[in-house]
Amino acid sequence: MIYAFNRAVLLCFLVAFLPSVSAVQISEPDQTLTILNWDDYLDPALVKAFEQRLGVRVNQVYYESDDHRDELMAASQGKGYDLLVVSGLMVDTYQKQGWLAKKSVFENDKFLAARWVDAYAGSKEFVVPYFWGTLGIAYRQDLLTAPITRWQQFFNPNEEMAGKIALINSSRDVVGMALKSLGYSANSNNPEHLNQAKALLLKFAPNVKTLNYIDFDENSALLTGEIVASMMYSGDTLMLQEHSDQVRYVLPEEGGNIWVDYIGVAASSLNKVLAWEFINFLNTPKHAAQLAQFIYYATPNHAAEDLLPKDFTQDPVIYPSAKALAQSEYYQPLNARTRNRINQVFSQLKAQTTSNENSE
Amino acid sequence: MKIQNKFTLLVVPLIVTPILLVGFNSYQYLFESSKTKALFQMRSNLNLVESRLVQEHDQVLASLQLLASDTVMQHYAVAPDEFTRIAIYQPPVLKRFHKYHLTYPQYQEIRFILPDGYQETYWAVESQYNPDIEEATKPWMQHLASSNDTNYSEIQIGPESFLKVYQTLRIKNKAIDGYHDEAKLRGYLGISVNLGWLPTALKDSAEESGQYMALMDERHVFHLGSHALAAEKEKSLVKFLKAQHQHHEFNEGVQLVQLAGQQYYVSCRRVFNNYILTAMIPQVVVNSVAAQLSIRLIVITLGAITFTILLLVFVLRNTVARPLQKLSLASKKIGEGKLDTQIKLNSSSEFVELSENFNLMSEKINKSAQEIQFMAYHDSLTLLPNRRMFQYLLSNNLASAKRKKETLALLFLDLDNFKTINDDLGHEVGDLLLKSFAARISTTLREEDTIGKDDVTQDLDLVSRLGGDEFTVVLPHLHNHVDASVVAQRIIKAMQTVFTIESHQFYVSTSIGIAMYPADALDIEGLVKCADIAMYNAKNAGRNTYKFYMQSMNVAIINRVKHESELHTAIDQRQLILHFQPQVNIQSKGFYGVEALVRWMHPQRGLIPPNDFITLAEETGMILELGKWVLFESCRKAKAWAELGISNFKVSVNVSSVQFQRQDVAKLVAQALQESQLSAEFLTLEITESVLMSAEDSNRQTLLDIKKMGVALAIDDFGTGYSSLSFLRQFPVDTLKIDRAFIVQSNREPEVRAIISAIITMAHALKLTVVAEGVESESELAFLISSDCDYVQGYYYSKPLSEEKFLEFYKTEVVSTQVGSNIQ
Repeated sequence: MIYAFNRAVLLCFLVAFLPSVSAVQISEPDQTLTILNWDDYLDPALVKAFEQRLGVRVNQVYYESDDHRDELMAASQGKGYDLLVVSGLMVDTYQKQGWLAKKSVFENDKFLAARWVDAYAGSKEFVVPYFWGTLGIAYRQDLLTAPITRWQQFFNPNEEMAGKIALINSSRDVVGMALKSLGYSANSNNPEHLNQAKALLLKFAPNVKTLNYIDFDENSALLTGEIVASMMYSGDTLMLQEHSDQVRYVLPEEGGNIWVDYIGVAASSLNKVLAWEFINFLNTPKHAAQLAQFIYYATPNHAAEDLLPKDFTQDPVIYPSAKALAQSEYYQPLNARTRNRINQVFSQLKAQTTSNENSE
Repeated sequence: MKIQNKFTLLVVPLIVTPILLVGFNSYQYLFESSKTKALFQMRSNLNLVESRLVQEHDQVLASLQLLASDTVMQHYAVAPDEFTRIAIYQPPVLKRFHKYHLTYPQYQEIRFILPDGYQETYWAVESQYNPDIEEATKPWMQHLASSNDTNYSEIQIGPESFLKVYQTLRIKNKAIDGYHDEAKLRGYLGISVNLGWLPTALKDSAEESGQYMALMDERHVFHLGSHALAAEKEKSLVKFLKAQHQHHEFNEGVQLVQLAGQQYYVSCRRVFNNYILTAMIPQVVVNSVAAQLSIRLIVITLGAITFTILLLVFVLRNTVARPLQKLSLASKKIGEGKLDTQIKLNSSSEFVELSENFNLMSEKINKSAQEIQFMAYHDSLTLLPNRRMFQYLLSNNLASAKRKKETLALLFLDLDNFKTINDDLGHEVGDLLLKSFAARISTTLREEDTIGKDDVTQDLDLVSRLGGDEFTVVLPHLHNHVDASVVAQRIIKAMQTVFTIESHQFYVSTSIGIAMYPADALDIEGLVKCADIAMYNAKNAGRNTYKFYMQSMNVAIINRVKHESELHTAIDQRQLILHFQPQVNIQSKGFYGVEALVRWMHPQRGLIPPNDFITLAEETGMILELGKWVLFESCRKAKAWAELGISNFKVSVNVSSVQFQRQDVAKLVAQALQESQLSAEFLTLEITESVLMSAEDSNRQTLLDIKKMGVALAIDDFGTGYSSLSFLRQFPVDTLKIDRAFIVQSNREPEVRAIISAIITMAHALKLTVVAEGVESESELAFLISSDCDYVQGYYYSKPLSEEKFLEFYKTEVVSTQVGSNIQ
């Protein structure tokens, strides 16, 4: 968490100063785009290609969870970014804060599947779908005697998993999946459900090794065995599988979360035209296919989908079957009090797991 | 009363009074200071708790204000709709709340409350987690809502106490609000602090000093006390505090208050307007501290008094009483005769001077006493031990000898012929001689200290003077008789040196008798007797010699000693009688005269011959009395005979040389003649040659005087001495008596006969008549006749006869045989 915060601060620092430094040292950068994005969520080759084509510079500021992104946005009041990668659920909130610019017309918009374009309140007016995926469990099959098939196993860990579990620093995800494990909807407004979820999580807290989303490189804690199971977004598992065959992804029997990330232009951006051009560039079917293969997620660009190889489009992790998705839910907006309660619960959980992390 | 007691009675009040005064003042001071200290302690405890509360409060308030100014906090607070606030802003706000707790662990709850009283954002430690509280009706909210105060503090008093501070959050939303609009109330921030330290602090402060501490709320309903208080007392305290609370000016000082019948010192503070922090301590407790102190003080005071008095007594005793006692004791000792008593005083007072004088006095007395004692035990002339001391010393030496099984010799010394010297030269010379004699013995002994002595120091005062010319020498530690004889020989040899007393020069000899312990006797008396006997024996042996005591001596000496004493009584009791031996004219055969011879008729032993006692009489000086008696008695008898008709005869009386030395013989003769009325021509004095030989002018004159009286003089025992006839011419002598030894030998020795003839011829030539003694036979008589001897005396005619027998002899022999014609 602290590590994450520091990294964010460092990134902010880089964002603030690098352009001006390079402006003096290198050529006259006509324009710079700053993207608030997940780490490893953009193919550097594409970025480079865009930069070369237009003679611009593209910077990225990474966040590691939805909450982290919200915090960065709240801290800067949405200022300092040109492009925002944002979860569908928060599009409406962001646009209400005035942080999102209205959607401009762009050429490749036509390739985007309508199913995703209008999935969330405000999504059609402000943003375009970026990728979609599921939230499930990644685990080391070699370190567990039995494969994980349910959230219940995850939140009531056996001795093999105890203390070796990673979460995501995201209140909706954590509390939502806890609700799922209890058999409730991840969108439940029932305080009693939340109370049970809270009880479950506080009991579960000692088993949590970290709330920070684990890395996907060859040094990942899941690969070293420090972590044997982690809450994880589907495509990230495939990145890890590049390093090890022992990592497995499961969309639990209770169902997971089906999420859609969108990309939009920040209201405060001074390069909105360029920003939309970048979005347009990314949605060129060839580019979108390249990007999907790079990040292992399903693209909402149907033109791109046609360009993807079969083993990609038939990978159940990327494209789960309808049966597998049957129990999974999209996050719905909750009433404020419920959202508040989720925040409180997660804050309580964080207080507990922070002490775990501090103790190590 | 003793000086010490008097002095003590006088001084003790002088000491005790100031000490008591100091003690009393100290008590008062201690009382005050202990009270001050107790109350100060109470107030400082109060201040401590109060200041900690205030400090805690200030910190919380600072935190609240910092939080209120936080950008995210402000964005959150001004965010227009609830969902946005919660979805976007609440997580970072919660994160901040959590971080505040991590920094200040005592922050148990941090909350944000909307103006309507809804607690929207809430962070709490798990144990305190209680998110659904509607705050609208709470006093703090009512207070902040209705006043201009920006913060409010309350203390939640209970099993767990909390300090809760609330801060209003007023923010202007620049996006919406106009420039002149006032900042809108967006809500309230609140922090709850766990006052876990408070009960402990109250309890500790109370336990430490016996006080009661409590924190009460404004309504005096809830309170936190250091310990439970009796209900009645608590009620009383609350009543008092209520009254205090209503005062406009809150009294923070210490007040003495009566609570349920007991006096308390009470001090209180108002905290955060609505709370009262109280501390109180019973007056009894405060006083008890002072009382404890005062007990200690009393002990110290009494101790000081006791110590001072003891010290005083001790000093008095040492400087006054003890010296006095010592002096008194010493005086008493001197009174008891311990004259060598000395005093040692350690103090440096006048008593030292006194004691020195005392010591001086004691020394002088002791010295005189020692001199007196010395004189009592020593001879004043020679300074030698006297008889008494001798007894003592000898007994000591004897005891030692007995113990060590040693041999000891006792020497008795007698100066030969001392009486003669004393008579001749006077007592002064005699005394000086004794002194020199004593000195010489002592010197000799000192030179002899190698003989048989193992321990020189014990051998002082070996020489004693028993009296007159009698000395003793004790020789302890001897190996045998020889040691004693060596000493005796040395003494005798030492006498060979001439004594020079004034202008006189003498040769003096000594006779020494030696008795040995344990050979001769075992006790003092025995040793003394033996030594005495041995000495007499030495004298008899010819003087100037020493003799060891021998058993055989005993009888003779005992006899002799007996005789000596008996002789005295003999003279007194007329046991002495005179016998008379007739002298016959050899030619005419007629009666010529008699020689008076003394006889001792001993009552038990009968007649004792003269040889047995005359020498003794001469040695003891009794010869003077004896001689006198013989002279006088002879004269009386002669007179009696003359009156009986016996005429023309001569009575010869022997006079000893001792008599000539010590008596005025001429005067004695005159007295005898006068007393007996005897005509001088009847009397002849027989003297020995020694009288002539040793005589000086005095003897010659005596003889001349006697001659002048008409008394005839005869030389007795002529031929045994060394006198010559020519020498006789110088003296008015009438007759020679030839010693009987010549007569006895005349029968066998022609030479003796020639000598006798020659003596007779020459005597006749000098106009001296000759008497032959001891004529016993016819032949002797014939020879004497032929030799022309004048008179004979001896058994041939008659043995010595008693007066009665003599008178009978005279009648028969002289008258009947007509010897009588010769007489006529």
